[in-house]
Amino acid sequence: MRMQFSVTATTPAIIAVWLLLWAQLLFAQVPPRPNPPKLVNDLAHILPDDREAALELKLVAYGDSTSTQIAVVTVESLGGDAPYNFAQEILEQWGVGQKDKDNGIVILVAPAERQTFISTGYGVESTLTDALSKRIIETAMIPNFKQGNYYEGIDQAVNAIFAVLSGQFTPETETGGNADAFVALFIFIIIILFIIIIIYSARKGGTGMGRTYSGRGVNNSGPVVIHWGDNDYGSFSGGFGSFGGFGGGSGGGGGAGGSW
Amino acid sequence: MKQLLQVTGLLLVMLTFNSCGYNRMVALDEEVKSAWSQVENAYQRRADLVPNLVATVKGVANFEQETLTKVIEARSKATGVTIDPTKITPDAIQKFQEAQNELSGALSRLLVSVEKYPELKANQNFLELQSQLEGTENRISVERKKFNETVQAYNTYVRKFPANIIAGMFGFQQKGYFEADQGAEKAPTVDFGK
Repeated sequence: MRMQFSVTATTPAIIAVWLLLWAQLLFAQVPPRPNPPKLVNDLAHILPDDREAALELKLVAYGDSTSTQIAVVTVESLGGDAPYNFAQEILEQWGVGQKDKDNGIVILVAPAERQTFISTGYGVESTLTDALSKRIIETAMIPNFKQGNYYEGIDQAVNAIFAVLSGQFTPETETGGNADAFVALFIFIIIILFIIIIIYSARKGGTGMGRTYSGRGVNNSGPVVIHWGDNDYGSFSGGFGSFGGFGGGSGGGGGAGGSW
Repeated sequence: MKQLLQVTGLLLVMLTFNSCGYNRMVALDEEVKSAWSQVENAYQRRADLVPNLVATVKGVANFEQETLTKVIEARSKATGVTIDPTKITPDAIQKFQEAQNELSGALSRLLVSVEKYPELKANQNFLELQSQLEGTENRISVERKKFNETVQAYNTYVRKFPANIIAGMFGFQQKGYFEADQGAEKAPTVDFGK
C-alpha cells in the first residue's frame, strides 16, 4: 500500500529527472579521451604545432615529477554547456590526476565562445583555490587572449599554477609506489637468497650445478623487476617525453572561469 | 521429505539473495550516502561563506539592511534543514532543496544589490568572496549531478524484478532526486561579474 503510493507519487518526478539527465547527456558532449593519451589537446587548433609539443613536454615532465596532471583542452564549441560543467566533465571522464590523490587540473579554452575555465580536482582545490584560479585567469590568460595570444596565455597560466602548487605534491609522494616496489623486490631477493641457502646447506658441500643456478637467479631478478617499474607508467623503455596516461582522478567542480 | 523441502527452500532463498543482489543494493546504497555527504559539504561550504560575505558587505556605508537580514535568515533556515543519510526520501530532498533555494534566492538578490555600490565592486575582499561563492555554486551543481547519477543507479536497480522483492523485504526504498529549478541549477545567477 505504502510502496504503491510512493511509486505513483514519484513517477512524474522520475520522468522529469530522466529528461533532465538526457538533457545533461546531450549538453555535456565533451570530447572523448585522447588515444594515445595527451595532456595538450588543441582541438580548436589555436596553438602553433611546435609550441603545442613544447607545452606537452613541459606538462609531462611536471606530471612525472609531481604526479599532478594538468590537461590543456581547447575546443571548437561548448555546445551550449556551462564552462565549469564542461571542464569538470572532461576532468571526470578522462580521469585527469591520480585516482587516490585527485590531483588533476583541466584548463579549458573555448575561443569561439570566448570562455575559459580552470577546473580543479578534489585534491588540489585546497591549494589552487577558486580565488587563485580566478586571479590566474585574469592576470595571465585574459590579457593575452584578448590579443589572440593563446599560447602565451596558457603557458603563463601553467607557470602560475606550477608556482601555486610547488611543494604540495613533492616527487617523494609519487615515488611512494616505487618505494613499495623496491621493498617488495628486497623481500623477494631475501626470500630467494634464503631458499638458495637452504638448498646449499641441504646439499652440504654444494655441487657445481647449485652454484650456477643460484648465480643466474640473482642476476635475473634485478633487471627484470626494474623493468616492471618502467612498464607501470605505460611507456616504452623509460618513457621520456611521452605521456603515460590519465590516472583516474576526479573533481567536484572547483576552480574558476572567465571570458574575454 | 519435509527436510528435503526445507533444505531446498533454504538453498532457494540463498540463491535469490545472490541473484537479486542484496549485496549490490547495499553497495549502491552506500554510494548514494557518500554522494549525499558531498552534496551536504558543498552546501555547507556556501553557508560558511555567508557570514564573511555579510560582514564585508556591511562594512560599506548604509547597505540595504533588509537584503542582509533576508540572507542571514535564509542561511539559518537552510542550515537547520538536514537529512538523515539513511532516509533520503523524495520528500526529505524536496524540503532540503526548498530551504536551500531560499538561500540561493536571497544571495542572488544580495549580489544584484551590490551592483549599486561601486566601492564594493572595487573591494578586493569582496571580489575574492564572490569568486569563492561562484565556485561553491558550481560545486553544488556538480555534486547534485553526481548525487542524481548515483540515485538513479540505485533506484533503477531497486525497482527491477526480481531485486524489487528483496528490496521490499529489507526496506530499500526509492530515494529522491534533486530537480532542476531556478535555484542551484542555475549557478550563473551569481555569475554577474564581468
